[in-house]
Amino acid sequence: MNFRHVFYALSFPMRRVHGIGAKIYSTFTLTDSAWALTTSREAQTWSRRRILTIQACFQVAWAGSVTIGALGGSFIPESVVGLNFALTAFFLVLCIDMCRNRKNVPVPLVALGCAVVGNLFFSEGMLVAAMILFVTFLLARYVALKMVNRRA
Amino acid sequence: MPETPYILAAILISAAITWALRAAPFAFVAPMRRSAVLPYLNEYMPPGIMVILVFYTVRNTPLSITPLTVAVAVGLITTAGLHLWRSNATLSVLGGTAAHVILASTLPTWS
Repeated sequence: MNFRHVFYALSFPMRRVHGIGAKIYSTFTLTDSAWALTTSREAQTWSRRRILTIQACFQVAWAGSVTIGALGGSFIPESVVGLNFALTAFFLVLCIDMCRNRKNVPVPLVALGCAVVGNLFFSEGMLVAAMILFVTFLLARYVALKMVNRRA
Repeated sequence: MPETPYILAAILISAAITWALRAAPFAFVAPMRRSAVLPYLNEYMPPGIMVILVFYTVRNTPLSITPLTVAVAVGLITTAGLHLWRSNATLSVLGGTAAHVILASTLPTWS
């Protein structure tokens, strides 16, 4: 599961986070949500304070809601199911925002294809498989674009 | 009941492992910082990774028409619809989750 952090390192604006203590804290609290917010084009020039504040907020929110969930979970009647869909909805919302920023439809569709293929062949390990497939595709596309540009 | 020092040690060790696993990739990527590949990946990778994460969270949904499938589909459509319409992340997540929970909890099971 933690393998996906290899890909997060590729686009997290770590050079903005200077100081060894800040870097240690920043890598420790690099959650999916923190990465998703700090990977936009504008975020590449955000200040250290801004990036660390975002991460601290997510850390408190995660820890707080897990605690509340653990304490309060028993009060939710057993007939209420599907609350974990909130995570799906959250990822979907982030995805829509990212696509709006970038206006590139085919590439996310390729990612969907990678997820389907990964799921077919690897079931539980699909997350890593799909991400490797997708990044391999992106790198191949990069090389191809470069070759076309050189010829033109 | 395990003793407190034991629990503390377990927490510290898992925190250290989590950190090491998250920090290690940065050491590998550091030499690539100046390369032109990084801005490119930065542009195209994030939406795709999110698509993969969304898929991952719903991957155990059966493909035939079941109450769960309907609930997941309606949840996804509600979330996306709300977000395209109002662009309010809180509203979209709450609305989509509510739609999903209501359907998943109330639809009778059929087979």
